[in-house]
Amino acid sequence: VDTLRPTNLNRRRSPLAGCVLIGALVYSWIAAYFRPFTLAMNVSVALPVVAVLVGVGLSWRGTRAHTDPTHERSRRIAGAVWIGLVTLLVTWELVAYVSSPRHDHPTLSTIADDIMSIHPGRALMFALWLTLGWALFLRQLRPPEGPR
Amino acid sequence: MTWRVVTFAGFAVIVSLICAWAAITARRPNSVPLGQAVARLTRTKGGRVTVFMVWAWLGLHLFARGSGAFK
Repeated sequence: VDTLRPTNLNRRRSPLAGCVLIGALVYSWIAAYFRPFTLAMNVSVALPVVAVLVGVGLSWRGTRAHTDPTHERSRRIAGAVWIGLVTLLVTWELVAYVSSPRHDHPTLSTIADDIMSIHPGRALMFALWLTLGWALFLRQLRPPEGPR
Repeated sequence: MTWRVVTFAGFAVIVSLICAWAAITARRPNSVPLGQAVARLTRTKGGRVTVFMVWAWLGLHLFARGSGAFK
């Protein structure tokens, strides 16, 4: 576990990464066949959640982000803009959520429903969800380095 | 112009702004690109658990339960 640590440096593409990508796409395509409230779909969602949970557990020690004090002001401004944009998106979503009728005020969930009304759309959304989980939690892990 | 169009346009504008800011920050070495912003979110244990729960809820909401299931 100690050898698993976050890094953004010198990352190389490996055949394993390609296999994982293809596997995730196939998994998404198959999962898109299942309907909500079925055991098959529950399992399809639960498996990636458990995998990411393991990743969160492996990276539990926490990391220290590298900060460059020479650009602290511009970094603060950039961070504030990110927070502002996310706040704007959440506010717009809430305004749509509390408004009615839903047809005139679609939320992101309603838009997602429209996209997921066809099988390729469902598979795409599932793949995006898997990608998000990988990007948030598993991307930062790297396997132990072998002897050189 | 209907409220439906206004709502869609609002989402489109906000997502465009996010994409534009992501492109701008990616080219500036002294800025905070999207990847670093996300890394900051998951830097602490509390942040990591919170983001994990939001991500898991999203999967449950969209796929296992289906947001349109209660219509």
